[in-house]
Amino acid sequence: MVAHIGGGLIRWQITGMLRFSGALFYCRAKPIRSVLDTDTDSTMVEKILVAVDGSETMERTVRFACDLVKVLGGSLTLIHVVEVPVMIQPDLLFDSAPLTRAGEMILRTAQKQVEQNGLKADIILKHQGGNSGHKIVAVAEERGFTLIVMHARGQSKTATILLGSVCHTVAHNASCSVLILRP
Amino acid sequence: MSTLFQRALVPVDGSRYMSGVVAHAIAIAKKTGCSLTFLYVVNVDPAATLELEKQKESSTRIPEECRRKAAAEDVSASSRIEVGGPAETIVEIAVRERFDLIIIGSRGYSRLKTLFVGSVADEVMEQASCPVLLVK
Repeated sequence: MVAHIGGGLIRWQITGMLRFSGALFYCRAKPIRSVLDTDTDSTMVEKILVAVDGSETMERTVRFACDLVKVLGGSLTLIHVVEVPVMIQPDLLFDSAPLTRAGEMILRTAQKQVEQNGLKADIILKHQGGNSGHKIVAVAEERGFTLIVMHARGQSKTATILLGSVCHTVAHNASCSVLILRP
Repeated sequence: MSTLFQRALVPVDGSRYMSGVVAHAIAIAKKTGCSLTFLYVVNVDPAATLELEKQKESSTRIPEECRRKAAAEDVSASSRIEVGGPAETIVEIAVRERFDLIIIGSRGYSRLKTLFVGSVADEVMEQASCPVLLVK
């Protein structure tokens, strides 16, 4: 008698589990079908933000971005973020003017390269304490950029295999798409 | 048509985030004239042959569905299934067959989610030798 009830219980549990996994499978299977329903939005206007840092990879990045705009259409904006060192002692004064001047020069160089390609680009210069990736993400969100183009490795020459820290920050935190150029 | 991209590799996983990536890839293919290869990687220990065949069979429709969707929009596309670790397989194929773009989805809505499920995209970004488009 006890064995009978036990068997019934087990059977009930097994069918219950099957039913449950069936429901799970249904949930998983449904979104795949929705691929067919999604319309491709090829009319969307791209607003491309190109992060430049004056490193040796910059020229290639700008050239790539120009080619991209020629094909995809849309606008091009160059951004450079001056990384101001985070001070441990607040009373230590840091003069960021030379870095700002360098940043302006980097942007002008990149802008000139864009113009040589027969295109136009706006420029943005920002300051950020610590990792400049956060600033790039913030600007992209604020101004509604649809794509960020950047090189995986910028100023640091050590990390060829891994992503640069700025690139990593942008890739993880940006809410728009990110195109990462590799060496 | 431009020569910016010729062939793009689009890894797909059948998740609900896939449709956005596929739509994005098709939009890019239309504009650049590149061909798309939808890749599904079966992540199973190759020793488990029985399991593997079963999983391969059930997942055929995932990249195939994408290919059909692209073909319906006059984009030249193919689909394929490979077995192995997702990130390594994607990177290896991209290198070996000289793809010039990888279009991959990221589920980076929250940092926690990125930490858990965006790991394939993360590894691909770090190891690829061609440009990677991370679609959000």
